[in-house]
Amino acid sequence: MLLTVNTAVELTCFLVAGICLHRDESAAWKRMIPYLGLVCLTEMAGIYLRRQLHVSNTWLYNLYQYVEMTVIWSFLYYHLKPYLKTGKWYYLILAALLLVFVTETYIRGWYVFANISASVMSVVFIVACLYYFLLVIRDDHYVELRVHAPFWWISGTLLYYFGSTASNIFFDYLVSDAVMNLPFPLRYIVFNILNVLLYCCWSYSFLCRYRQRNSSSSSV
Amino acid sequence: MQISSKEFLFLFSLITLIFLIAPLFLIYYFSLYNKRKKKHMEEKEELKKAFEHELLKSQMEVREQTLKTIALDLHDNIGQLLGLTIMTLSAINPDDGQRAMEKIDAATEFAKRSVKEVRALARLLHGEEQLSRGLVAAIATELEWMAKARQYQVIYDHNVPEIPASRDKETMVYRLFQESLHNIFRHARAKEIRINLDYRQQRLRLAIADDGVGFNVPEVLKMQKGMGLHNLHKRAGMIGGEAVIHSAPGAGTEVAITIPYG
Repeated sequence: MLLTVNTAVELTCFLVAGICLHRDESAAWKRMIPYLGLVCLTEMAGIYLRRQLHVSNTWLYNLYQYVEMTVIWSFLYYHLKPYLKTGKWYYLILAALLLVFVTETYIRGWYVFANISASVMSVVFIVACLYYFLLVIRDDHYVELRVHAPFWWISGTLLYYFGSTASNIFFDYLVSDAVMNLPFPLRYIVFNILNVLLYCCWSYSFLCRYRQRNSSSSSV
Repeated sequence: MQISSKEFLFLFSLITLIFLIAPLFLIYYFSLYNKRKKKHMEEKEELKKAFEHELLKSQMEVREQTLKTIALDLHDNIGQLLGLTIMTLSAINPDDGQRAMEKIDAATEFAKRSVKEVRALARLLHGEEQLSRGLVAAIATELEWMAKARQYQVIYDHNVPEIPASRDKETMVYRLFQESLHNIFRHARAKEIRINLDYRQQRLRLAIADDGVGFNVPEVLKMQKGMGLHNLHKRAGMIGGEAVIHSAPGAGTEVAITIPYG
């Protein structure tokens, strides 16, 4: 059965993105549609590999992590860009993230989850989200947060990556036999909650974006 | 010390919970701050509107004051001169050549003085233009007119030939100056008026002092008739400055307006 809490919420978010963003004039926002499509495919393929073929899906999630760090960092930077004077940080941080990821997968191999890269990536994303909040606070212009699409997207991202920090830090222990044999899969439950929070915030941000586009086009 | 799997899971759950609550609080704090920012911006906007309203009121009052001065001058000065011209001309006897010439010369003199007065009035009529020449010059013109029309000894002192242009502040300061002068005419019974305009280190200080009867400042401020004084404080405050009034019965009055300028 490919439909789980994770896949259901991811598919819903993908559908909302498809409906709300397919006519968006911003290429960055539009890129969320193929990215979420890829998220759904990865999640379903991961379940299929593990449950149907009974083989490891770690290599798939490692591969996905590469896309995730590029897309999420690029989109975060897209929101930070209006407040920044220089664009060099984008390439510097992306290069650093990729270096950590390549090094870890080279040393540990593709069949071990790159949790150090995931932790570093989470820290970078958390700092970027907090920095975005700081820049918005310092900016002279007021934004109506209730309907401000970037705010909801970044809030969802912050909640997800902040919440997953403990899971990333204790990853090795959480996947050890001692913990995996317990009656309830705690890591799985945590990620279910985080995914629900993330994709609800993202879906709402896509709706805000859709409403913003419609209201601005109707006022012209 | 080793911890069991159950203890680890408990600790892990606790840490995850903290890591989930922390960003929630951050987001909440951020939205709260944003609301305060909105309130602050609304207050700023209200202050801006109040300032614009007060500025408009000041501009109108400057014009009104100018028109009052003109009306008074037309009645007391030009009207009298023209009346005298008519009387002199109508009294001419063509048979008495010598006297007729004298009267014509006198009427010509009255007419010339009238023209001079009308020209001076025309200059005053352009109240707005007065300020376009700068605050120092506008005050000088007003004082020149006042010295001519009323019996005051006026001493005008300023430490710079002109101050940097700032239309809104100039209008407000000019109106404060007019208001202070008006108070002197109405209540002070003064003989001497001293004006000092001092501009240094981006601060402008305008002091208007008289040797009149003076008054008890706290007492007048408490009464309804102290509205003019309240206005001085309010308007000076609106341009980021302050108005200080020193006075005592029998000891004259000094109004000092200090504002950040430039």
